[in-house]
Amino acid sequence: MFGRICIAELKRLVRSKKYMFWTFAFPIMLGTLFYFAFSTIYSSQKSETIPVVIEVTDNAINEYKVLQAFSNLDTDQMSNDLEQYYEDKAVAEAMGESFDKEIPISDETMDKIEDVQSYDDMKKYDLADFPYDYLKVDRSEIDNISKDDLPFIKVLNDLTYDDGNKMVEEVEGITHEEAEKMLSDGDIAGIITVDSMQDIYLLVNGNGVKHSILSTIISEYKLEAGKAIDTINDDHENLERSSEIMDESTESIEYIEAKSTAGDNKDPFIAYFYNLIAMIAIMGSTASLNVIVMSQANQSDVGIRVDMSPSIKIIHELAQLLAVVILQSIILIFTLTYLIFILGINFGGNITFIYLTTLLAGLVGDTLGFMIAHFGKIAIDKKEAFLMAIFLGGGFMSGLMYGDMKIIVEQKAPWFNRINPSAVITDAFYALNVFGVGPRYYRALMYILITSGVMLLIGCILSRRSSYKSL
Amino acid sequence: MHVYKAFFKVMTKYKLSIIIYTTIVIFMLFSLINAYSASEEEDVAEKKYTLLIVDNDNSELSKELVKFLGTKHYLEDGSYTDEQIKDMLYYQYISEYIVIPEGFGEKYEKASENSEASSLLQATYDEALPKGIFINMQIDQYLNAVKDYMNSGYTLEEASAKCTDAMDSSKYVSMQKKETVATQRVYTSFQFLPFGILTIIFSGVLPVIMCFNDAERKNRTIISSYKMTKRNFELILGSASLALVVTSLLVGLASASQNSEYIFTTSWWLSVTNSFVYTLSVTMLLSMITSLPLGINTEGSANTSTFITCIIGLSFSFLGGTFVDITILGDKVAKIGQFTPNYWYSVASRKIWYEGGNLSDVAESFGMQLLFGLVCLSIGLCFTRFFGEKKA
Repeated sequence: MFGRICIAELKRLVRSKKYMFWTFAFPIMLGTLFYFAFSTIYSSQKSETIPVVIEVTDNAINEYKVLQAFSNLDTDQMSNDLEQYYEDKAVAEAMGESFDKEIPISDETMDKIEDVQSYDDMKKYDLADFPYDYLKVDRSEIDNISKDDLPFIKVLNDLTYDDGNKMVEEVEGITHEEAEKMLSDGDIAGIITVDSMQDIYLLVNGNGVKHSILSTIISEYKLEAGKAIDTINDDHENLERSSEIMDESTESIEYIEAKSTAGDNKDPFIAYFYNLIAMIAIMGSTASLNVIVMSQANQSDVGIRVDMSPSIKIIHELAQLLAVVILQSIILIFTLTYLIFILGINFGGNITFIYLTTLLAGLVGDTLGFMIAHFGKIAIDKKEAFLMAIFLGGGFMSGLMYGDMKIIVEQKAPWFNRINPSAVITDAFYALNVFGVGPRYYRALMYILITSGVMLLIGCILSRRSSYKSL
Repeated sequence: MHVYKAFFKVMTKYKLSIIIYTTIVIFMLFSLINAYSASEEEDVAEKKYTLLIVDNDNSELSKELVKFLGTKHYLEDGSYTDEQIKDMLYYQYISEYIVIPEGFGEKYEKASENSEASSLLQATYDEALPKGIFINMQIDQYLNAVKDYMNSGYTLEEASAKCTDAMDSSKYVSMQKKETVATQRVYTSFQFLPFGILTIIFSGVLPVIMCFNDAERKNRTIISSYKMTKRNFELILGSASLALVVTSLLVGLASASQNSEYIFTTSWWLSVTNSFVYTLSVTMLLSMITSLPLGINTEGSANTSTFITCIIGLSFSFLGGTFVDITILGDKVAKIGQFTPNYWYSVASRKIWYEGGNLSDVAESFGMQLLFGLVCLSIGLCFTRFFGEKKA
């Protein structure tokens, strides 16, 4: 009897073309939609090179030229030469000989160099008066200094992520107006203006993580450059080592030991697919609701015939429920296979257990419909509306519309996640992905089975009590 | 106006469904608004993330570090199990979990090289995402600077204060377009409305229209003296009336949940207009759907109106940036999303609340929503002509 009713119900459901179309089309359509909406968000959030436009003023380049010039000034040689010059001059004057040797450095030049007592003095120094003959390096090395030689630009170019990719990439060869347009369109993350060693400004068009990283890089460099300038100012002798001090200042210590988050698939947007499976499973409740309600004597002619037949009512309903479970399982397996093998969605975790979880998820939806079908003698449309409330509200609370909602509920009312059918299902998938097959996953499966069992039991108890005085 | 009156009489049959949908949507609206309330008042250019810090050291330095991070980010309070922390990290409820181990303060003073310092703090985060890198950069920068200042003779408090001041980005970062301050909450409340408007209208109107399109009823109307054009016009008028009430209710609730300073401002009026333009386009979409032979609510169809409401509601909302912000959605999604009114609603909403846009700035978005509606209406009329003239 049980088998015959089950097969008959299964045949009836399969023969309903519109029902079959919608129950298969709905998950495929939503699955494809979710794939387009969420498959690329996580990868687009990953650490990628930040495009920027860097504008360096002549003032900044000149300041660095002066810094380099003073760092490479051979002051010992200069002193020796001057000393030698004045010694020779004194000897010549003592001997009464004429002395026509040219002074190696003019007094005016010397005075200007001696006037440089601090970093600020050095910034104001005019290189036209500089004694290039006393450079330790070739003059061309100073003259050819370009923006790429500036310490800040070097720092930017040297920054890399852990995977070796560059952190910041300069977009070159564009005017300021073009840069502003690119910034406004979101093609670059910011415009960095370097006006001096310490005066660096950032223009952004938002406060995302890329802008934040740029801001932090600049802040760190400014802080270190400031410390270097303080060191130079502390001691006049440090002027000769200014370039070295600048370089040393950009070396910093890293204090953090990084640990990665758990999870086979770390993409949090995969939770939307868990919710999709949960939604399809819960929507299966409408099928079990319809099947059971239609076999109730106060709802349809078929129900009257069923009620008058010699079959045991609970057996009849359970057979019908089994038919729905079988069909829903096929739909869910079909959907999951489509998502995993056609769209290539990585659910995370052991594939066998993913299928097992999906099948059990179907059970939650079907028993939910079974239970609600037995709620009083109210019309089916009202029962469906109640089901919709559970499906939409529960889906929302488990993160179907807003991903963070499940964890917010977990923080504020964890008990709700234990009784919300959608949350119970998504938690099982999540546990499988993050914790693997283990206590947490088994606990999630236990919740699924308990939820299903309780709803089935309530349905069975309510079914026993229905009787009709007249129809 | 017989049909118009009958429309509402029939609708009362489905009042429970409408009440349930409306209640759920209102519940969702307020849940979302409350969820976003913590993330207001961002810095000029530095994003704030939520951190969970466990200070096992309790030294002066660790307390100063926690205080500093509190000025830069949101700190999550409370004690959690390892499992809960993993949950929070996975769902990105917290961006980083930092443990300050015992003895951190002492080791910090002695550490002078990377090898000695690299394990002083333990941070757990998703290494693939740049936000963890950003937070770590800030921590390293702070600790390096404090050490340098302390070496220069400053006390810990002075060094920390100087460092916090030096890391104030407002001194050197400027915004190209001035963002409106503290708009996240009001933006979110208006951003969610399209899903509510669409689902309530669809759930309320679809069964009613289907009732009027029932074979027997339709045939009776065809042979009556009542013109089909007049009947259809009154049905659309009925749908539009319901849509108007629904949108007004949701706009009122979304506005009531905000500070009064936002209400009756230019941005508010533009957002309200945006909501009504969207409502109009969705009503026209509805007229198209009811004209299609989709087997809605016909015998043995297993409540396909629910499926249609879900598919359209969710797909438009996900592709159009209602649930996930359009700035996060990729370019490919945005290209597809442009064919939905939700996308243009979201674009207009962002311009209004984040860029201080005026009517001329959002006119294109309004126009695209109306264009979508008109295209749907035209298709619907064609289908009505094709299928509707046949005897039902």
